[in-house]
Amino acid sequence: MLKLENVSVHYGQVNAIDDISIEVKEGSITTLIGSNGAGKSTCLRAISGLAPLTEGKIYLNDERIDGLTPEQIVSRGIVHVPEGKHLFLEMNILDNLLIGAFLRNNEDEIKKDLNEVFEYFPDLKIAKNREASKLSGGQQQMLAIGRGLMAKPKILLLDEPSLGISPLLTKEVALIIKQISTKNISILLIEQNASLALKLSDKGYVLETGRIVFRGTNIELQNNEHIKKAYLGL
Amino acid sequence: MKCNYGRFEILFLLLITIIFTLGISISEPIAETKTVNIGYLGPLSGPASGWCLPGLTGVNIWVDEQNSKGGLKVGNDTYKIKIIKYDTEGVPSKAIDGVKKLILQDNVVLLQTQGGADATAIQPFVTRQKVIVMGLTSDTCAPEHPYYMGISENYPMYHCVSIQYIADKYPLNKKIALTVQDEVSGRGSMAWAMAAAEANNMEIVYSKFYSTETTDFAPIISAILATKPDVVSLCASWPEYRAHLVEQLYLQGFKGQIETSEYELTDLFAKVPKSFLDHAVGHYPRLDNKLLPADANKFYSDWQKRYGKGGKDDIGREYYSIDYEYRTQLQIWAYGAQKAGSVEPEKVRNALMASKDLPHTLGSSNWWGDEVFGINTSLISPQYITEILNGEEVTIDKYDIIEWYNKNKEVTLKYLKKYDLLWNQR
Amino acid sequence: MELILQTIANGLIASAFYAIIAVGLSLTFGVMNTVNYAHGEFYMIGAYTVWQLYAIHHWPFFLAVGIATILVGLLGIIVERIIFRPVRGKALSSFIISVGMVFIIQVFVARMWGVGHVKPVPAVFKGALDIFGVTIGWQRVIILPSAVIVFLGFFYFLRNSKWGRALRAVALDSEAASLYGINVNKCAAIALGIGSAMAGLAGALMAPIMSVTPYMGHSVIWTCFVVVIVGGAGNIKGTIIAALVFGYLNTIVSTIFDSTVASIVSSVFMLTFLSIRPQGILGYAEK
Repeated sequence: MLKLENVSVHYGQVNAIDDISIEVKEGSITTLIGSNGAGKSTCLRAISGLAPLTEGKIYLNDERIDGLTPEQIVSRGIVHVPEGKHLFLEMNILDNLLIGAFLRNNEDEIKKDLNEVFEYFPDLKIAKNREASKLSGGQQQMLAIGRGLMAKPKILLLDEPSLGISPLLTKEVALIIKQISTKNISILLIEQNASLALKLSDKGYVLETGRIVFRGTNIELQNNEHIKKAYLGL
Repeated sequence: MKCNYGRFEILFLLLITIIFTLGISISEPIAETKTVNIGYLGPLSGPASGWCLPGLTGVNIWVDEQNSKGGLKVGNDTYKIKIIKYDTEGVPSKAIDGVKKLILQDNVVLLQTQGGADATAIQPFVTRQKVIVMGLTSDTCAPEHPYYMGISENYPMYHCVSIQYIADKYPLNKKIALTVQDEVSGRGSMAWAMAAAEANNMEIVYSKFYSTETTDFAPIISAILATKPDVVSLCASWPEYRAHLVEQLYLQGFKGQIETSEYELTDLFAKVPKSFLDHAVGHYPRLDNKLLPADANKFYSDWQKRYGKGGKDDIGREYYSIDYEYRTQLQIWAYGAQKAGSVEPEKVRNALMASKDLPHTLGSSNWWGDEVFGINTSLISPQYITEILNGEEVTIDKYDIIEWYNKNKEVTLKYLKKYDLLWNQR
Repeated sequence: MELILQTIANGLIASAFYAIIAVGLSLTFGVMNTVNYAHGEFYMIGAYTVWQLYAIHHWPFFLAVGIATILVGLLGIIVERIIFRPVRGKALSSFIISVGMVFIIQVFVARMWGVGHVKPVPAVFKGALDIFGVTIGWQRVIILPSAVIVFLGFFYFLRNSKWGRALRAVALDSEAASLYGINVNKCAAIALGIGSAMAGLAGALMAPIMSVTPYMGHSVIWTCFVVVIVGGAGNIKGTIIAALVFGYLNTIVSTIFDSTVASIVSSVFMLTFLSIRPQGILGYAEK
C-alpha cells in the first residue's frame, strides 16, 4: 500500500536516512525501531512531505507521492501524528480534534468520527472544552492520536506514542492502536520501546544510523540475537 | 595609430572652431546688460514645502516687473534678475550641498530661505563666503550668523500684540489658557504670549506644551477646558495640530475666544461651523485691506490677475501669506543694493543695517533684536491684527511690536529666559 | 468630576482606536511569524481612500469606509502573496522587505497626491455626544461601536469557523497545522488580509479627525507596536487589554501632565513591564 524505495534524506551535509526501502501493507501494523537519532522520525517526515527527499521514491498504492505538499499528502489519507504530539496547546480538545478534520467537509461524518474518538478516549469527551495545555501527558497523547483519526486516515504514522507516559497508560494506548488497526487503518509505528512495538506489529524494520539493518516479521525480529541484546534488553 | 584625417574631418573641425569663436564673440556684447543671480533655497517638495514653494508666485511677479522695465538700476548699472532655485526637501544636508552650488557655481549675491533648520545649517558656509541670507522668521538671528536677516514676518514675536489686542478690546476675557507643540518655534510663541498675558494681568490658567508625537488631542483640550478659560491661545501650533485642537475645542463645547498664528479657514470650516470661530484673533492680513500700504494693495491685485481664478497662470488655490513673504525679501534687498550702489553682498548688508524705515510690503520697518537675538538683524514690520467674522479673516487693527517690547521688556525677557530662548542661553 | 468622566470617555475612545490597529498587527504577527512594519502605511492608505472617495468625490462616508476596508484587506492579501511569501521563515529578509515597503508606500502616496498640506477630510458628524457633562465628538464616538462589532465578529470567526480555527492552529504550530492539511500560505494571506483590513478600517474611520499625510502611519505605529508587545505578541485578547492600558495611560498622563510626559511614561512602562513579564499580559512562556 505505502512503499518507500531507496529513500535518502540529507540535512545539509548530514545523511539523516540513507537508501531506505519500507513497505506498509494494508490493514497491518508496521514498526520502525531504532535508537535515538537513528533516523526514524526523518522517515515519517519524508513520507508526510515535511522533509524533502534527496533520493528515492515514495508510492501510495501506485501513485508517486514524494514531492507533494503535506496538505496534498494528508488529503490522500496519510496522517502523521508527530513526536512530542505537537498539540495546539492553547486550543481546547474539541478544536484540536476538529483541526484534524480540517480537509473534510461532510459534517455528519465528522460528527460520527468525533463520537468514535470519544469512544476510544472517554477522558477527552469529559474534558472536551478544556485547553490542551491543561491535560496530563497521557491525555495529550490520546488527543494527538484522536486528532490523527479525525483526518480519516488510511495510513496512520505514529511517532513515539509511548513517550513520556506511564507504563499503565502505555498499555492502554497500545490496546487502542491495535483496535484502530482492525478498522482497516494501516499503521506505521515508531517506537523506542521496542518490546511494545514488536508486540503490536505484524512486521518491523530496524534502523541504525540511517540505514535499515534488519527487516522481518515480528516473530523473526523478536528472536534475533542482536535485537534481543540491543533493543529488548534481554 | 595613424593620424589620417580626411578632408571632410578637417572641414568639420574647422567649422566647429569657427562656431566656437563666433559664439564667444557674439555673446560678449550681450553681457553688457548685467545679470545678477539670486538663490532660492528651500523645501520645494516634501512636508515642509508649504513654507517655500508658494513664495515663488510673489517672487515671479516682482522679478518680471523689474526685468520688463529693463532691469534693476543699481549705481550706474542695470541688472537683469535671475532666480536660481534649489530644492532642499527640508533636509539640512541638502541645503549645505545647495548653498555650495549656488554660491560657488552660480555666484548668487543673496539667498532666499524660509529660515529655521535649512538656514541654520548653511550659516558657517555663508559667513565664510559673506553672502546675505534672508529668511521668513527671526529664530536664526544670532551674533554668530551676521549674514542672516529675519525679514518677512514678525514671528513669533507677534503673539504679544494679539494678546495685547484681546486685553485692550475684550477686557472681560481674563482667564487665558495656552498650549503649543514642544519645539523651538512653539516655545518662542508661548513665551511672547505669556509675557503679554502677564503684562495685562490676565490669569494664566493653563500653559503646557504638547509633544510633536501627539495624535489624540482630546485629553489636552479636556484638561484645558477644565480650567474654564475665556481665551485659548494655540500660539504657533502647526497647521495639522491646529485643525485638531480647534475641532476638539468645538466638540468639547468651548465658548470663548481663540488666538493662534494663522487660520487655514477652508480646512477648519470642514470641521467646525463658521460661527464657532467668530472673533478668533490672528495675524496675517489680506493685502487688499486699506490699513495696508498701497504697494501691498497693488501686489494683491497683481497676484489675483496672474495667479488667481481665471488668471494667466491660475494656480488653483486661494492667495495666502507665503505669497508675499519672499517678494518682500527681494524688495528689502533691492533697497539695500540701490543704497549701496552695488550688488556686492557685504556692501548691501552694511547699507541695509545702516538704514531706517525700510520699505517692507507690510509697511515701513526697522531693525531690532539685540537684547533677544544678540544682534539687530530682525526686521520688524507693522503688525496687523485680524479677526474672523462670519467666516472671513478681516484685518482690524495695527500694532507696533518694538513699541510694545520697549514698554514690557522686563516681563518678556523673563519668559524668554524661562524657556531658554535668549541668545546667550543657547 | 466632569474632568474625570471626560477623561474616562477620552481614554475609552483612544483605547478602541489603538486596539483596532494593534489587533490587526498582532494577528499578522501571530500567523505569519513576521512583523509587518508597513501596517501603519496600510492605516494611512485607508485614510487616503476615504479622503479620495468621500472628501473629493463626495461618496457617502460609510460606503467610502467600507471600500477602504476591503481595498486595504485585498492589498494585504496581494502583499502576502508577492512580498512576504517568498521570504517566509527568513527573519532578516522579511524585516528588510517590510521596512522597504514602508518607504515605497510613503513615497508612492507622496508622489501621487503630494505632501506639504494636510489632506482635509470634512467631519461627517459635526456635533458631539453630550451625556453627564461629558462631550465626545460623534466622529470619535463611532470608533467605539465599530471596534466592538469588529472584535465580536473577529472572535466569532476565530472560534467557530473552520478557517478561524486554522488561523489559530497555524499561529500556535504551523508545522503541525500543515500535517492536517491546513495550507499555511492561505492562512498567512487570510491573516494579513484581515489584519490589514483592520488597519484600513481604523484609518478610514479616523480620516476626518486625523492629519491625513503620507507619514501619518508613523505616529500611531510605535504605540501599536508597544501594545502588541505588551499584549504578548500574537495574543489577541492580551493585545486588547494592552490597548486599554496604554489608551488610558496616555490619556490620563496627557490630561494631568502633558503629552511629552505621556510618551515617556508609556515607553518606561513597557520596558518595566517586559522586564518583569517578558511573555506579555496573557502570553504563555515560550516552550
